[in-house]
Amino acid sequence: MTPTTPEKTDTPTPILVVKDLNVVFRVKHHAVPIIKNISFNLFPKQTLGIVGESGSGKSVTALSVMKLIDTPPLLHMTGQILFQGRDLMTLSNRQMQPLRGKELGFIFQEPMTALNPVLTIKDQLVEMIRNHLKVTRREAVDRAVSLLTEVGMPNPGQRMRNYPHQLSGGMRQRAMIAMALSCNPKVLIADEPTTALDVTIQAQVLELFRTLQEERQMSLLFISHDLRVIAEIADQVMVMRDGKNIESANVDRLFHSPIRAYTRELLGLIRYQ
Amino acid sequence: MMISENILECTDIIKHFPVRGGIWRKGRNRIHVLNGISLTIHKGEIMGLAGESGCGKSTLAKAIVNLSPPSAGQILYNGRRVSLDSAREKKRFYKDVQMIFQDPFASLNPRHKVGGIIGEMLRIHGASPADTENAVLLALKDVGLDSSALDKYPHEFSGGQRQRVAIARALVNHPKLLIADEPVSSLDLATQHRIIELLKSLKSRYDLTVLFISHDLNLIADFCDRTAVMYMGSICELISADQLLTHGRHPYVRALIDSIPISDPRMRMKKRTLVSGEVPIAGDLPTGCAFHPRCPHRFDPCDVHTPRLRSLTADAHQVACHLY
Repeated sequence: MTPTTPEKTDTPTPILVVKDLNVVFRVKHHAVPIIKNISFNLFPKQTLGIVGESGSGKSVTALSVMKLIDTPPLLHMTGQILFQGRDLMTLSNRQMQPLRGKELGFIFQEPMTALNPVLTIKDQLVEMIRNHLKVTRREAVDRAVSLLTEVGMPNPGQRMRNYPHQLSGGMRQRAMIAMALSCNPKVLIADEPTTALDVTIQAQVLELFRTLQEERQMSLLFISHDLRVIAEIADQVMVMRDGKNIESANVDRLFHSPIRAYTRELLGLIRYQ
Repeated sequence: MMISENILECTDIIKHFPVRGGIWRKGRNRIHVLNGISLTIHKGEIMGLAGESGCGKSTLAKAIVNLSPPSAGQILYNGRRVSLDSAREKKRFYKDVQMIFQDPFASLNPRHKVGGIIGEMLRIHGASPADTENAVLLALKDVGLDSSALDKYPHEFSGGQRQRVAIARALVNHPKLLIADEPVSSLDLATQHRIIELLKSLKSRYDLTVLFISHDLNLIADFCDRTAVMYMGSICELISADQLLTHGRHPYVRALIDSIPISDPRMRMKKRTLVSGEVPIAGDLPTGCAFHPRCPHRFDPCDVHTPRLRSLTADAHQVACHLY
């Protein structure tokens, strides 16, 4: 029996498995469930898009995977987060630290608040690289230049000496992406990475994500409130509302034959013209 | 709406800001934010103003309401120049012209109750407390909030509800011209949709003229009658809004339209022409056409001569490009 397509010879094992994730916050002495039984699989070289309105729990899901939620708001978190078979839920903060940035890259929505305003782009990139990889400062600088070139930063050698406020929104987001890529993560988590950008720059950044994913064979967890952006980038989509998974499907199926009423409602909103 | 009066006429509006630098803090350079904008708004229409961040949309809005007076140029309201030296005239102007801002978290005073925020305008214009209260309640009802909102503070509301409060404040005294500066862009899609529907119904009920500023071309095409698209402080195209997405001709406008993500994953493979580069810093304005360094169709005159808005057809479609 010869398989028709070579990719389908073996069923791929997911690189990231989230199983029955429940996150409960403490709000004014009340336990408030924020994430309710979320499960998803992220496969190698694939993009999973998470879409939902503000407050639906998209960002909390992403931050939970990185275990980046502080304990005052967080009351407890249960379920499994299996990254390459290893359960991140059982790891301590110290054990998580080598994974953050190295294996799991993260890109935030607003690069101005995510970048350190008092350090140059170069300092921040070099710090990130040298934290995770055993390289000299010189090598780290070279790597920083090639990363900035890769993400399409104009004049990388000169631009890296700038502080974040000296860069435009698009360039800042490129710098953020360069930082997230600096240690060749296997999974890149991007939380609304194009929301703060103008539409022409958004198109450029989406194109950049596609090229980078192709070249680096990364898995991408892409969060957006904008179904149009999801249509551009995702392979699989999960629609969230009030911390629940409303519908998960292949992107084509979701856009062309949505099952749940809420998904149809969201799709109706982007097609109301 | 073919032959109608002009409620607002802007002619050759220029706005520049001095950049102070060096130890003597001398204003040596200027950032040119508006480079000769001429725009006419007819009574009763919804005029869209589109463009990317930094193109001068908000500066134009602020110039119109005199929050940041233009450096040069003339603004006529109902055919008359508004002299803001006279307190009486100023008061009358601000009764007629109201503004909604983008960020409802920043534009509502956190220390005032919603009833006070909405009623302030009426009190300034001399309404009695009873009239004020009635008008405020009516305004709240218009925007879909109930009377319990009166005694609440802005932080008790969600973004969409706050924007409703901002709309109620702007409309409570029945203005003639409403300037809405990105009123929905901080809201999520479902809320955006509801606020736009609200603005549509209030527009027809109160016979408003609206200048609607947005970076979202789909929204403008849906909501507005005409659109001006701005790039680096100039208007590059003026077109009726329902033709914007299909008949926009300026290369920049085409690029904007092509950059809108298509909500169909099957269309993804269709190669689109993306513009390269970013908007230059307004201080170093390119010579000739401001868009020429990014333009895929640039040719000889583009870097020398600045194109002016020219009518393409008999209708109001105007483009500032050497191609046409």
